[in-house]
Amino acid sequence: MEPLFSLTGIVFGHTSERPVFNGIDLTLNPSDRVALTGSNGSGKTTLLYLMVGLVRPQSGVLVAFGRHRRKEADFHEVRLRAGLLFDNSDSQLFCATVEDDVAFGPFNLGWPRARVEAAVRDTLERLDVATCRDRSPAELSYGEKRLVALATILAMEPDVMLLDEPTNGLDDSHVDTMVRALQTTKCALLVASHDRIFLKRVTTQCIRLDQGRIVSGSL
Amino acid sequence: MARPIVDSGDHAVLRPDPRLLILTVSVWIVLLILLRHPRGLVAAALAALILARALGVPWRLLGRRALALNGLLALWFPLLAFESFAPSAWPWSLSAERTLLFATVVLRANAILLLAQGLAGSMDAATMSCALMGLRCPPKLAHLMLLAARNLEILRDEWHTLYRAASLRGFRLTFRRRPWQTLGVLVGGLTLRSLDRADTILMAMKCRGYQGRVHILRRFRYHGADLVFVLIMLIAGSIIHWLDSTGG
Ligand SMILES: Nc1ncnc2c1ncn2[C@@H]1O[C@H](COP(=O)(O)OP(=O)(O)OP(=O)(O)O)[C@@H](O)[C@H]1O
Ligand SMILES: [Mg+2]
Repeated sequence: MEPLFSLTGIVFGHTSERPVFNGIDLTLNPSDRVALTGSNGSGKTTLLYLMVGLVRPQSGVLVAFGRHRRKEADFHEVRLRAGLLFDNSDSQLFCATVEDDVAFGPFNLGWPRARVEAAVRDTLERLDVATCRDRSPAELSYGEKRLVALATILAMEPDVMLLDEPTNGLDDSHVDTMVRALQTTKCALLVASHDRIFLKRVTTQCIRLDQGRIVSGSL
Repeated sequence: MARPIVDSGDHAVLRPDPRLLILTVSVWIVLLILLRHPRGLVAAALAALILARALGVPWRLLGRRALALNGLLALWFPLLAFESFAPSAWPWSLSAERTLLFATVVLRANAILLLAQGLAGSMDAATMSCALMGLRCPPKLAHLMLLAARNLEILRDEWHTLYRAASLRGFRLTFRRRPWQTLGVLVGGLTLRSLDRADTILMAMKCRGYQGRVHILRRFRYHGADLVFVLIMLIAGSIIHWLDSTGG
């Protein structure tokens, strides 16, 4: 089976004197469920950004969905198939209503209207936020925003979800809802988080970022 | 309830179809530019005020914006209205003709401000972009408008956050020097943070496959009330045109 992502020798730094990654090797296969751990500032967020082309490596090879990705145009397909949950939902939600925000991705996938409507309805129900449908994302509570942000990528039926601190600020019942939704998807997962209990429930493998490299980790 | 680009009350009497509103406001702005006589302009400014109020823009907001605009215009008054600043022409005299010209500039600017307020106050960025696409506007332009509107929203949000953060630590605008320094820091921070957020939001949009086109679930439909709206605007436009053309 062809891997979803395969990164080799990735080197990256926001500034040249302080590199974040010095040689990252990572393979993510379909239906892999991987926990990504590491201390604050170890580069978890940066790695997820890098995988969808929001930052570009200084050197190394990034192969996603079977093709070498280098330019902005290469990443359009990657972004449609790999759903990234930002650590800050405020930057993820930008439409006037929750339903429009969830419909945004599916429309960009070129789905017909009826399918988009069904996807929006199902996803919001699945995440227990159907009552927020017509509200503005800006006025939701922190936890509601988090679930709606997850809905926006879940609705696109991605092959893999890259989740950045998904449970940050969620109460137990919201976490349970999220866990249930993640356990029932068939897509692969790469979850950056400090929440070990949550990671144990949704992932089966663990890697750790340490000194700009990936080492195997444990939960 | 969708959040409009600029704050507005929920007391809108009129809720025309967004496409229609964009069209009407564009036509009226052209009309305003063509008007020559102060009589027509006064009528147009009044009509724009009524429209903005009917669309639900609160007095408070209109007042604030008008103050800013007219304050700025007032700075130009001496330059535009005096005959000459030559030392030999002392005492400098106001030119009646130029003062009148200045008045028309002020009236026109205010009327356009009112129309823009009514437009931005009654729809959010995504709706505006969709409505523009519905009007067969080129996607590039719709994209630009979307980003501009979004960035305005961000600017407003970030300003509220920063101002609140500062007030929580005891910041108040008074007539001493220090608050104004803090204000400078706040505005600087505002610029940086807004740029940063605008950046991340564009990233988030790209992450969900954005390529310049926005779709929304709500479908635009014309209603009976829209016809009434068009009729009122047509009649008002004709009266203003008549006032303008019959003026001396
Ligand atoms: N825009 C930026 N400019 C410069 N340096 C940055 C920028 N963003 C992140 N960094 C630096 O890159 C490093 C990795 O940051 P990153 O946000 O990826 O860490 P993280 O593992 O996600 O941390 P956390 O657990 O706190 O979320 C940090 O040292 C950070 O200071
Ligand atoms: Mg992070």
